Amino acid sequence: MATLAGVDDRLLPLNAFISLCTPDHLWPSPLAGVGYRISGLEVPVASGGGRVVVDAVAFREDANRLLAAEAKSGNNVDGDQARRYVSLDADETVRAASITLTATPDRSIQGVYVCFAESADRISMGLEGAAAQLPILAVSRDQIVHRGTAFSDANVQAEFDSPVETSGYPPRYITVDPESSAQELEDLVRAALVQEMSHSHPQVSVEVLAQHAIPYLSMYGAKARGRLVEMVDAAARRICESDPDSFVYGRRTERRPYSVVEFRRQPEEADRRGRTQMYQAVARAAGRRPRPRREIEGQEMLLFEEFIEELESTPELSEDDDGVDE
Amino acid sequence: MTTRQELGQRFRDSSAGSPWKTFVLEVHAAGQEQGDLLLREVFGSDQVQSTEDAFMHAIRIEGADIVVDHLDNRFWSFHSNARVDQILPLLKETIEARRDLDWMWIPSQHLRNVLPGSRATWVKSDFRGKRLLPSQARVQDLEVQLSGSAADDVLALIQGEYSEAISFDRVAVNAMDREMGSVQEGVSRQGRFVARGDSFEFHQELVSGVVGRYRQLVEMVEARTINWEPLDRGGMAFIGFPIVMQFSRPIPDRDLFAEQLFSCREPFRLWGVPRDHDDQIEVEAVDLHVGQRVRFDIGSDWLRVYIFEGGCGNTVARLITNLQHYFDGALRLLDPALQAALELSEP
Repeated sequence: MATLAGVDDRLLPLNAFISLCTPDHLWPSPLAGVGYRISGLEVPVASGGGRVVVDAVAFREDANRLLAAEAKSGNNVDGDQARRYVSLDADETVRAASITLTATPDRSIQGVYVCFAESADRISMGLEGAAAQLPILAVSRDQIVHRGTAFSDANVQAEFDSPVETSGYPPRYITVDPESSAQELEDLVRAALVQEMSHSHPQVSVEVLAQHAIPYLSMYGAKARGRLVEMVDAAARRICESDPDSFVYGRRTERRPYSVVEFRRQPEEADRRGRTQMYQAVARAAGRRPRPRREIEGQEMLLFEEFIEELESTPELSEDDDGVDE
Repeated sequence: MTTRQELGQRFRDSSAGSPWKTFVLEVHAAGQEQGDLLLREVFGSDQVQSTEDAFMHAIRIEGADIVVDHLDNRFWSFHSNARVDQILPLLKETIEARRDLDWMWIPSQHLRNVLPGSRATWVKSDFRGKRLLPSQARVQDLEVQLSGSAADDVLALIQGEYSEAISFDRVAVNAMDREMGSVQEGVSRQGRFVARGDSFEFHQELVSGVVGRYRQLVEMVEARTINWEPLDRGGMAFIGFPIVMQFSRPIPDRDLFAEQLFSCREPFRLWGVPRDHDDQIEVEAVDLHVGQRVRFDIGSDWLRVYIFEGGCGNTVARLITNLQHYFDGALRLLDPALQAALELSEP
């Protein structure tokens, strides 16, 4: 599947698992139907004498059951990691994810691997090789199929006894991660810049920009977080180079240990037409193609009783003449 | 001095002259003190006067007297019996220039029920699809204005066949109550009320009903904003999910739709660069009305909108109302609770 922008396709398995637990009423959410909700992402949990960073923890409140998902974008299984998913302790995970237990049933946890359908055979072999008996959810464009070990929660197993039909992509909760490229971050960074611009700020630091562009930034460990901030920095620099009329990149200096982006355009200080045109210019520099403007008919006066006439007598928002594409 | 009692008298007196206007604005200011400061910042301290009521201020703009009632912390009523052309241009300019003020964007279904149980005596439906629909569309523009006791029924007949092209824009009702009196009330989809009658209380009750139903929709949207919360020992929790609009028919020209939606122009005022991703269009956008990030996915006949922490429910209400007006008067929200709040039914 080609990626032009937006969600990095590597992140589809993770977004798919989140969406299975989070109803948006368009993409299927059978795990939410059973009662599971996401309790944490990138949660470090002690397990098997070491630690595993669980990609997504889902919790079913009425039954104190947990699912710990490892979202795989590739074909390979790390044997040690897989065995730690098998050895996960429910109580340790409850503590790590700060889960509030409102019922008293025994706690239980099961790991699950979520991968692309085309990788499912390799993942299955990898898990067998590691002697890790874990269920697999194989995600493709039109369905999600359960493979391997059965789910210990009978309600979950019943949901996946037959393939779950999907259409299109799941919602995009996680759009980039530390393995994404600076190029993949550009749209997020540019939108964060426009957000700052719309508040008439003269400049923004890359650290603040990173927080706006990636609101879940702090879920990653220090090293991964640092890498993401560096990528935001690189994306900001590229945007400034490609649109020097709008943005100026300021490198970090001895006095200022962080880089900044200064705004050359201040749309909010312009009149209505100028403001719209400035925002449009930023979008054009990002590759938005202007289309020929369509002819819109003017408003007509209406007649009614006096008080309605008065309301009508003042032109409504002149919705069609506040900016032009080229 | 201005009191609520005096305001009521001025309302009754206006029956003989220019009708009464109440424009409701959605405002982000916490508490009475901040309300006072905000008004002075927006209109200038010398134009704003305190009154005996801590939650009412008198302002004078362009020779027009306006009383601002901010007892409702979020939805402020700007009352005046000045001419519309004296007050509306300045309010429009002010709202456009600020991130903390916005109109109400009343959906078609809410306008249809401005006074539940009472039939509209005048209705205007205004569908303008030329911006988002190609010329081959079944109905590109449809403007209908009806008066009389069967106005609503006639509109329902058209709606039966061309539901996508019916979008309530303004309505008027004659409201009568044995206890309270009577008012003639006109309401536009941007929360502008014009009224005449013998009961300011009844007028306020009607305004309050419309605002209350709108508030419920907006707050339900805000309850779905995507919020990230760091966990103590690392990792992150989140709540919220996107809101999906289902259109009554496929989007005929998705490129045109996306280009127009994210053109930065009124009334959507959305900035964004649409990107094709297989069979959906994805957009990292900014709502220029409020200066907040918004994310969109656009499919063949649906639109998914993500509002993030601190985002405003008005963003979605504005989108719904304007899409009803410019693209599909029959759009639905897939979330049953939200759809119930939109169509004012039981979930």
